[in-house]
Amino acid sequence: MKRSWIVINLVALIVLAALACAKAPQDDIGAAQAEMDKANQAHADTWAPTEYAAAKEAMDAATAEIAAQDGKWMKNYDKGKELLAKAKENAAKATEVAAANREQTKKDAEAGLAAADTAIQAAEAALKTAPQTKDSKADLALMKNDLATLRATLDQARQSFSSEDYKRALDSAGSVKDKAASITDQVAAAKKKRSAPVKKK
Amino acid sequence: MESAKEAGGAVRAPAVCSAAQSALARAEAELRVQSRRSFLLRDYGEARTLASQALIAAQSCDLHARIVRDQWRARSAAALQDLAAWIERATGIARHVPGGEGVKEGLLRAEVTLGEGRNSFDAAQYERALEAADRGKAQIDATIGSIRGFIDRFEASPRRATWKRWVVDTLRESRRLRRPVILVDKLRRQLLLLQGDDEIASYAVDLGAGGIDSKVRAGDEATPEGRYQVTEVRGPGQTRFYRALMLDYPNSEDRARFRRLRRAGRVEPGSEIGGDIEIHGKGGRGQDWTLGCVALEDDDMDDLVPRIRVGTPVTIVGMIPEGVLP
Repeated sequence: MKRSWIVINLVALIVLAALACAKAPQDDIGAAQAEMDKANQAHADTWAPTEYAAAKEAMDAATAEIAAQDGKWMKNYDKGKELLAKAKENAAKATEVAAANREQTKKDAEAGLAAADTAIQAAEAALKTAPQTKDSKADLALMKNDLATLRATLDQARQSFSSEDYKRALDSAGSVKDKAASITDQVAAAKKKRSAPVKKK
Repeated sequence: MESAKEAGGAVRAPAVCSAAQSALARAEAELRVQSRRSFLLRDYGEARTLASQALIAAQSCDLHARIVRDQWRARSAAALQDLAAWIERATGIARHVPGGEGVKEGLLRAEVTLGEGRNSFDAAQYERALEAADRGKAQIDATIGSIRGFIDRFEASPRRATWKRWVVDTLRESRRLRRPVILVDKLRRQLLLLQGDDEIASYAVDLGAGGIDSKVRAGDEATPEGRYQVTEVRGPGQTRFYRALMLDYPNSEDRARFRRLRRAGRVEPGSEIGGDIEIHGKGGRGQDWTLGCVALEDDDMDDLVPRIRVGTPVTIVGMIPEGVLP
């Protein structure tokens, strides 16, 4: 009987020692942090803000939980590990969503810039064939200047694209395209006006 | 949380939504911890509490995100509307400024920025829409500054005294002869019909495409400045521009000035002084497009022409100085 008690106490002591000496899950922390780093590199805070926030909060909660367990004599990192697993999972998702969103916006912006360029070219072509009369001459000169301004604005949109501000490039290109299309319409209207020879005054 | 995501909670209400995300992560972690335990040791009490906290926090996140989103939407809509109104006002006064001052380019840039802002707004990117509206407002402010600068320079023109004398003499003539006179204010793009001290009518006009300066030679597309008379009244079928009042440009003063400038070498050799300056119809375009004539809307010509006869004085000035009119 006495021997049994000794064995039980010894086992309990070993279990307690094991709990007290439990080490922080460094591998899990490293793995979760690595996924967070990937999400940061993918600018997930910009391109997938909700998913990134979920990852960050899980990571912060894991860090807080592990720190709380570190201060205890009886350590239990189970919850911390689960939070790290969640942070890793969320970070991976944020990276994936960010890459997809960024790529889609980039494609949209590329298409928008190309469409704006096409619209300007169409307006320039229309302008070249528009008859110059007293009625239309000033209008056409104004439209030519407007197209030059639109070209300059489109160049700025391209700069936004180069600096990876795809959303701005997309919205700006859309606006340039609309303006260029309205100039094409105005040229068509000017063409309809009766042509008359320009006379010096 | 999905509802809050749609309202952009992570960006628009980060503090409240962070708390919700944190509560949700802790609830899920606790649930996983308990589900791994032996069924005899499982206790979902904490998981349940955390899940309740997460639900309340998520609802709060959603509510805050929607409130903030609606605030951004209202602010950006108001800013875009304000910018559109400023562009319209600036376009109105930009008519007084000739090309080459960068005003028209500034207006177009602001219009493109407005379009960019509207595109952002349509995509529910209200913060970007507001930023575009602010950028457009800065562009329009700079443009209005250019317009004001031009008008200030114009008002300080050395020809101001001459314009004043012409207007005073024209009004005196109208009072003496008791007949209507026409005054054209080039800066304001306005034609006034006066008799003595009474303004009978006022019309908006389009001028020559060659700029605000006075006509010097044929082909410069500028509207002349001086004291003229109507030499002929042309009705429909007699002019390409609906109705026309032919003027006696060049007068003796114009010819003397032309000779002076030619002697000084300020007019290209072989240049002529030009002619056929009219007040005619087909105007109302809101821009200067004629070869030097003064163009009114056809309806305005219908209103003006019956009051005019051959010999009616027409005085065209850069601007009518303040305090000269009765």
